[in-house]
Amino acid sequence: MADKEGVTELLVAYGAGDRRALDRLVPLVYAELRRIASRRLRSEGPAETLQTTSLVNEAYLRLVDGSRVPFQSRSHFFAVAAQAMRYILVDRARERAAQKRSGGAEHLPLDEVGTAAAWAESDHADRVIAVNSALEKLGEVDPRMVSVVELRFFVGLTLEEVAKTLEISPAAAWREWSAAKAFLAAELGGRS
Amino acid sequence: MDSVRFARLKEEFQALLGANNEQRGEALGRIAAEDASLAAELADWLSAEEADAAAWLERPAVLGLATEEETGGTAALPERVGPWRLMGEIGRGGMGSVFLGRRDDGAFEQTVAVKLVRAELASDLLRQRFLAERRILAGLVHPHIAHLIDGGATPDGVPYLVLEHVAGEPIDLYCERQALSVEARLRLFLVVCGAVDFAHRKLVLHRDIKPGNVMVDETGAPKLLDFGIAKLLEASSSEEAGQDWTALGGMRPLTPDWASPEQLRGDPLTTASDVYSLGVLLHLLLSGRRPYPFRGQGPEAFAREIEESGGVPPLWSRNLESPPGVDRRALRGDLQRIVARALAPEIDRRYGTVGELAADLDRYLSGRPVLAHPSTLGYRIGKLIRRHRAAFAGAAVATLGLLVGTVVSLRQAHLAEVQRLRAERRFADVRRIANVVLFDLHGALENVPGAMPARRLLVDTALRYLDDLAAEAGNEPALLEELSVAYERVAEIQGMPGWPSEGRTGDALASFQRALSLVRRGRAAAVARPIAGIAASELDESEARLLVRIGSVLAARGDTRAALARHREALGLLKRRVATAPSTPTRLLLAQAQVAAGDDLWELGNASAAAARYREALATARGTVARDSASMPAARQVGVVEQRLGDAAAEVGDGRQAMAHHAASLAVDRALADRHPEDIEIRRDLGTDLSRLGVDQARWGSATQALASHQEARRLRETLLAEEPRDVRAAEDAAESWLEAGKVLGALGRHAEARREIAEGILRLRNLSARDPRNARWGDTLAGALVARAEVEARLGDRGTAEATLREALDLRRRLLAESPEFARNRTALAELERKVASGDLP
Repeated sequence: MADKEGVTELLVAYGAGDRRALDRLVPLVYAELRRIASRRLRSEGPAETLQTTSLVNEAYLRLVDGSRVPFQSRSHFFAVAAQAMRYILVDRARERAAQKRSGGAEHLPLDEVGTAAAWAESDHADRVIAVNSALEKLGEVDPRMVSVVELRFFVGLTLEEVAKTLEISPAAAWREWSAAKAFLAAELGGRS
Repeated sequence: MDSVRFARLKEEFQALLGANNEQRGEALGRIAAEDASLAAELADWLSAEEADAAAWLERPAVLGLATEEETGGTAALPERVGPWRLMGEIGRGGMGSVFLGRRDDGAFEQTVAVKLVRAELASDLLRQRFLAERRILAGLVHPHIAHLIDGGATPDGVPYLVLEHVAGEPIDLYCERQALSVEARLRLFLVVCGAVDFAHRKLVLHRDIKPGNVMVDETGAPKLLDFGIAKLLEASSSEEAGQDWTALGGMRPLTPDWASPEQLRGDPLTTASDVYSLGVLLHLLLSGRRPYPFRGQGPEAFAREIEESGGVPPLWSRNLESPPGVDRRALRGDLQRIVARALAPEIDRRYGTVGELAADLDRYLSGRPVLAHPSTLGYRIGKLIRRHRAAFAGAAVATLGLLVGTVVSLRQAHLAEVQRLRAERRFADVRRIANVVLFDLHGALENVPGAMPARRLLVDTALRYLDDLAAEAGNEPALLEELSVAYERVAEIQGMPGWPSEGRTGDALASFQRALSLVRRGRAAAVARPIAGIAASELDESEARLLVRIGSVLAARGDTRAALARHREALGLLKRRVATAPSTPTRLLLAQAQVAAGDDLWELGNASAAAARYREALATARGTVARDSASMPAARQVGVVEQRLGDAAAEVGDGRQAMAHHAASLAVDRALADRHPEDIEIRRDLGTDLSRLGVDQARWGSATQALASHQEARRLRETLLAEEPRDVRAAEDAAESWLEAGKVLGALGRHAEARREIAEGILRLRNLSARDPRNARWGDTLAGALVARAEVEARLGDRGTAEATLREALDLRRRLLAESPEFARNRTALAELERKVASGDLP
């Protein structure tokens, strides 16, 4: 059970250079995010949007004692959360895809307002899965670009925030992002 | 995938991000020569970038809604509704589900939100009301309101609504995520208020304002959702509505946390109910909490709780955290008061309209005192304008509407001297009215075509107030000065030559004299008791200005010597003033006075003295332009003086000089007209320049040129007259152009045309003269016109008429001499005419 102290400690350790802390952080954050997501989906009025950014913010507030952690740990947290978020989304997407294939529920729970408008014809879930595969390929050659996509697409940070998190200049972040988009478009464009 | 290759690919791509197609093509060519497949991949990337193929990536992925097991199932839902194809559920509300939709008939691409009412709620009554309200809601087109696009019912009778799709997050989350400051939150909130107010004006209440219905999109713009839809679902009678939450299967379309007490009770709603909900929202945005948490009690009980709570909870407290970005120090005092007022349980203690709430917030943001009640004064003035709306020309009304409510602030320091408190308040009221009516509105109407009737009404009203005021003015210099300016404005409207006016020179003179006596009284008082705020020397300028204007009116009436005396007095004051306070307006006034004195001298027959004054004026005007090149009046002044100098040169027969100066003036005014095409005065000057130049050309240049000039002048002046039909000056100018064109036609031998045009000019002059028989100038012009006509008639062989016309002119001039013996030009012309008639000297 992740508690504030545990995660805070780990973040501090990670910030101090302990790489192993990261491995332990990810599952904790992941679990918390899932918990928050479920709770919100279940109890709150469905008219509420459920954007990952607010989830991650909430997770941060819950897991991290802001007073004890240096500023850049927030960035680290986001980087971790981004990974976790990606896993969560991919999981759900796989569940949906499975449901669809098995001829399940009539209504397709299309994803929330923000992305929904962006989707042309295809199912969001399929896309998430496709992006994930592309990112796995990308991860082998350019991990930083993967982080950029995770932070931007899976967590919803602005480019400035991405730049801060990764400790690069906003111009560099923009260049990474542009390249990432081109790569993903080319990769996904291959499929129908 | 090879990492080195990938790195190269990325590098090349990033290098070409800012490049154009040509450069890209060139780079691709270069790379293809080395490695064709790399080039191909790069090309793919580049075309994806150009087409923005991955635009969908810009919207962050979000979680889907709960799976079936998480929420507990749903009935089968339609795939299509009308021309809209349903893509998938995106939300669920009290009344039904919301789906993402797209238009299916291939007409155009549009993504919408389709709300389907739950089957249980679909009754005939509901359907009818839906259709009726749809029209009203469709008319709510506003940048911050999600537009209702369509609506109807499915074949199964399920009502649906199609709305603009809004991508964003609720306003409270937005503020939190962005960690907005108090000011930023207020400004965002004010935008929301604007939208609600807009709808109220269209008689639509929202009835369900809450964060979930106020979304903020990624550009930071708020959008209101579900406007008035709550109304659609309300049962038409109170029995059907029921007071119990569960009566409609828990589907009561109302969120209790945000409901006003009257809403909770099921009482009729007003704009104040929306104000209440906005108040709750404001409280939430500032404090992070709702003021009255709903704990599941019944509506009646909740309403009672709110009323008995003893006041709105404070926006901050020591134990509770404020939302991110909010500085708690701002949350005391006025903001608390504003929120409390919006949340007052009793309707009559609340802000009545959203506009009032917004106005108070606006005041708070600009550091002004927050008012308890809206200004009743502005309200009264607004009523004054509305009552007389019929008298106002179209464009002016909008401007007036905007200005009503602007109250000029009083100089309290001066009023403190006046002991009589009640009289003081009334005085202040009256003065404020006079100021608003005259200062603010007059300024707006000054150069708007078609505003004459409006001005007349203002004058009558204003004079009543001013006379009251003047009676009580006492000896307070500042007050007296303000009063005098007010009278001056009235005089301007009443009939000063050089302004669009109604020609009542006598009334104008009286008002000016009144203004002057008030200024002198004020000056005497200021000298006797110097008070900070208004110095005697400031009043000097006011006095000078009035003297110049009075002089002009006197000159128009033919009393040239008196005019000159006033103008000289003004010059004395102004020269002193310019030495100590050489501002552009003061200099311009000096130039104006110099021109006016020159005009007087010229009227009195002393052309060389007049020219000297004009040259002084030109030096002053040029000096002003040199110091203040942006000043339009200064530029105009140069034009005016050049014109005068041209006139003076023409008078003494120096054709070359005359044409040079007149042409110079024309050039100045053409340039000004280009820069300020809507300015009436400039266009008028342009007409005068053309006319003068035409006269010069007729005498010393070619008649053809002269005709062209006069015709251009006439076109211009007819346009001006059409815009301002009651404007005496415009009528005079137009008449002059007819006459002049006619005369030139005569010179060109086109007599028939000449007669027609001169006749037209005479007709117009007669009309004018009838309005103000004392106006010597018009009389003089008319006499001249008659003589011109007589000549043409003679040339056409109509001797009898010609002689009769000449005699008419003679009589007119004699009458003028009797009435205005000072009028030199008339004397000269009369002498000439007598000779003509006596000798029978006609062509």
